[in-house]
Amino acid sequence: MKSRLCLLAICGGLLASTPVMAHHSFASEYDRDRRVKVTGTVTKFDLSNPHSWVYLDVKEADGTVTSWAFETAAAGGLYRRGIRKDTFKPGMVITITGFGAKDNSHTADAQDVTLPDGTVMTLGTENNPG
Amino acid sequence: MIKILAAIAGVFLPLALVAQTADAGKVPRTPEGKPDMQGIWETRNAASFDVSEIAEGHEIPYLPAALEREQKGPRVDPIIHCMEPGVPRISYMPFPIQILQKNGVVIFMYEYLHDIRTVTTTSRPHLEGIDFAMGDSVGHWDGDTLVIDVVDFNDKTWLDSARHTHSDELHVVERYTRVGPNTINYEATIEDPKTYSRPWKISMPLHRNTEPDFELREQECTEGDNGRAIHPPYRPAPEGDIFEFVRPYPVK
Repeated sequence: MKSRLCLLAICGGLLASTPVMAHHSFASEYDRDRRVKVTGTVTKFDLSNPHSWVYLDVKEADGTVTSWAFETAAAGGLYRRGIRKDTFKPGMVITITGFGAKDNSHTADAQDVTLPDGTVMTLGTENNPG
Repeated sequence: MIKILAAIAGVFLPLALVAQTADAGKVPRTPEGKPDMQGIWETRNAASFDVSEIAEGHEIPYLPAALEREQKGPRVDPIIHCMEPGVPRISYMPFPIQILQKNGVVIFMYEYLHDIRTVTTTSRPHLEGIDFAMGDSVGHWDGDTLVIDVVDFNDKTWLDSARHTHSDELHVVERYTRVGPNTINYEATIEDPKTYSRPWKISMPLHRNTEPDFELREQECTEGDNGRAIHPPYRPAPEGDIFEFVRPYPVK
């Protein structure tokens, strides 16, 4: 499933782009019908406002690496759920589900994360689709 | 002649004394006996353009490495992109500040970006594992002075438009002392081992706005297509790609 999704994104003819850092609505950037589930290695976690970002590298079947960027809730919201600057450490392998970007780039609005020990945490904004 | 001088002194010296002690009236107190900081307050300086104006000795003790980092860093004041001004800059932005107070908490409502700082005065521990543009504020009373300890900063805010920067190890200790009906003396000690060679101090009065029925109003900042504030915070960004403030004095 993961590879198919990644493949779809690549077939879209778009390379992973730098995510838009400004504050914006879900609907303007992400597709509610484009569910993604990505397992990869954490390269960076930016616990910040207006939204936090988790960056993953995914090794594809052909050996190439695809870099994903997941947008998450604001810093204060994640903090209340127990997430800290060092919760997602570089090198850690995690799985994130979410909603893919409308432009088919390797950017997504994160919903849940599964940590290496099986713990599942919510990354999206409460009561929002993502 | 001496009589004339004495007469002149007799007229002017008391005036001078009155001027110095004009705010020597009684400091209002809350039912709990703390100095009552409530009211709408304003600065009357240009520290948000250049914080050295209110710095002790007008000097900021930069480490050479920090100056070098600063030279390579962003050259546009973050508030031009509607970012938070950080602390202590929010205290000397040229916009009114309303302070509300009850036992165990002091609330700062800033007209600028309608920021709010809720400061508990119970000395709770600081948050850990997170950075904020405005940091994490924890208060306590030192006698009649409200002391606010602020850490957990990110490194993205500037102290002023003159590109005085800091790192994420910034530590600010603010001291608010109400010295009369219309004045709070504000002091802050600023330390950051990655940026300054020693802790340094700023100080300024906060003046009470005594205009009848004065209220805070909405103040918004919205980025335009060019990424610059449509509603300029307090001066318009000039046309062109580069907006660089050149310090009018040599950096020490």
